Amino acid sequence: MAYIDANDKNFHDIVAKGVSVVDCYGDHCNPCRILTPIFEEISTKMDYLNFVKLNTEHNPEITREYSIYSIPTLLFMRDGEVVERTVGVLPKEMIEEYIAALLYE
Amino acid sequence: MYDCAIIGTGPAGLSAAINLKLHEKNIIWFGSKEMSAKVTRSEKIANYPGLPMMTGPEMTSHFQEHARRMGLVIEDKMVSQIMYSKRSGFSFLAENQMFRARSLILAMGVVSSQIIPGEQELVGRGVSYCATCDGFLYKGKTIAVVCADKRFEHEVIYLAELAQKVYLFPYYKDCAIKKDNVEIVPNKISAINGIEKIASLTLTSGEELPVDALFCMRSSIAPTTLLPSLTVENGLIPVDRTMATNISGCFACGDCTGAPYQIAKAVGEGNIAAHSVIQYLSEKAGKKE
Amino acid sequence: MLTPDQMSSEALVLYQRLLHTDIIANHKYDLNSRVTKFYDYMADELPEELSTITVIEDEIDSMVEKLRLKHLIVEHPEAVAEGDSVKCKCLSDGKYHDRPILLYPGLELPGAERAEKDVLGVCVGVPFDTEIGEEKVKLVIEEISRQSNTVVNDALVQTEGLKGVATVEAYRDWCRKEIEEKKKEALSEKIAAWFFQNFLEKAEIYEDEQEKQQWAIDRAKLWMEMDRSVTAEDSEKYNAELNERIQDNLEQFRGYIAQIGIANAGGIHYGPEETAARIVESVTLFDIDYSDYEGVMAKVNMTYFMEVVYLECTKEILKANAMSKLKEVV
Repeated sequence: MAYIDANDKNFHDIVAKGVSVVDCYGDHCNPCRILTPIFEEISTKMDYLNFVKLNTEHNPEITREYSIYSIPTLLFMRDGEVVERTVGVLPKEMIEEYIAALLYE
Repeated sequence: MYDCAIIGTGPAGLSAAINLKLHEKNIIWFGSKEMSAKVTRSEKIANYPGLPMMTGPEMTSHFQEHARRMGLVIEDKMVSQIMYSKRSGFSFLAENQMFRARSLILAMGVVSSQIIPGEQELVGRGVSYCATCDGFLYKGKTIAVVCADKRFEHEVIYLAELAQKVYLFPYYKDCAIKKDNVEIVPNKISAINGIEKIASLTLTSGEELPVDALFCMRSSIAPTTLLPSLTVENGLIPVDRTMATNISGCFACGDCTGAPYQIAKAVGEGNIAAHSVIQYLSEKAGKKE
Repeated sequence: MLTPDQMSSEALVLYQRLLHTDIIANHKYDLNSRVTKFYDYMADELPEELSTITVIEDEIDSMVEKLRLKHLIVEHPEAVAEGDSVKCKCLSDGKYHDRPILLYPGLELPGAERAEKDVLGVCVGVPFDTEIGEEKVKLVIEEISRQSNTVVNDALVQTEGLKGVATVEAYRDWCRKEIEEKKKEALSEKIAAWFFQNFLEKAEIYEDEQEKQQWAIDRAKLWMEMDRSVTAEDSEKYNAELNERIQDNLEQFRGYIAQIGIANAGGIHYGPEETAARIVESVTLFDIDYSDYEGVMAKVNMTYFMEVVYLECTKEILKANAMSKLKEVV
């Protein structure tokens, strides 16, 4: 439960298996600060999923590898593959819908 | 959760706000305390029934007084993003706060067609509206900045501290930025090029400028950027007789729906939009029970 | 501000050299134009929107909820209830076969609405029939995960180790103060802008015509240099643009003098020493080679420099005063 702080080194291992939701954020980004509590709330409610936070300022390699050009970006991944990505703040329900699409489609 | 959010404090927005308030709806109203610059700037308004030959400032002060007496509160905040989902309704991002509402009235007037060809397609792929968010991602890179207002200069300076080179396109006079790595470009941008990611800009001079990102710092955001699923034709929002747009629960009124660009027309449309919202809310409540 | 005794020997060399540079040594630091009657902006009563800070219960609630979430414990019950996370295996053939199926009863996730209802009350290891998407499936629960029903009480609050906070009530008060502080900080910026506006309107300021003209011209030229849109070659257009800028600048001169007045009243005054020190400071900050004297000098423009330094320190002074004013009234 809750979320994992990922970095350039451990990111691939963390998202390798199962469904992952990755919050790519930055320290100077106000919208990221709004997304954080929403992301954290969902992460405490939904066990068995990987909720991952990636600080783009400290982890340039993964940021480049996944072509993150704007933050906050959310990556919705299944077994290490990005299935869907969104840019900007999303309300709780929409994030849940993206997760549902990963789980049940 | 608000019953309705209104964006815009011109005549259409005011009319909608008054009517929703009269029906005791819980609303949030985004705009400016000055209400409408366009109204205030009008020299004479000759065709508003009951108030003959008003000057713009007089009209504005009447509007402000009406809003005050009704106890209407204006949130002096710029809405930068609207999200819609069937389950959650509308969510708004306005200056670091998130708001939610069941329905939405767009009354933001005509946003001058400042959108650059290619901009919409490359949002999140190198086109950004948030310097503090995305600046860091372009550390040491070459970027371009469209700056529409002096009050965004500090954001340009922030970007210049991170980027290796900044091409600045100030769309106003008296740009007060002086930095070694900032080059003020006299042309405007006619197109943004790139497929997966931004590659270059085409300038009005015909010159092509390779860049890694384009930051757009503007005080108003085009409706399609604000709410991507909204249908917009030639910069205007198509509506039916109930002021409904293509998105369920989202209504539009006033200048943003098209000509005639008149106060009386805007006020009428605002009134209709408010009543459509009331109808929409009661239908929705009915379904739940 | 950096003082000479804090400088490294290399920096000090640059500092000494800068001090004797014509452009710094010969600049006219004391203008004839000045604030002749200081307006005590601090005495003004703040309007309501600048003097009220409201913390709503919702904001406190969400901080308390954060504390609760921090102390959650996970349990693994035998039967499913709403709010649980449920890990199932799909026994039936079809697209979900062998795929782990996760259910979150109560969230009404699209595609699992039916399954979220059917799984309620089911025990681990007992197969049950339901639907995922449009497909009929047979599932069996492998594990259920549930957050313990953590309650925020005095004992929990005490684990935070905050000074003088031993009860939930006291914790809520502490939260209120934290939120208030944050809001004060934000409000002080608005007040600072309001202070300046009042000062500009009500202070008496003497504007020396010659200085004003010169400043407006220097400033206009400065911006023309940076703006490539009009070059001096097109002299007609250049002069028209230059004149327009000069006219704009004439109106801004009063604001510039007001800023100097506020800074002076706050004990800040820029002379050659301060100017040289400030330049050394930015050389240090931007990691420029101290020996690159020519390079540094190429970037110094006194019109620009003075405007920026006084703008910055005025902002700081006004903000600090706004904070103390806020303390008085809130």
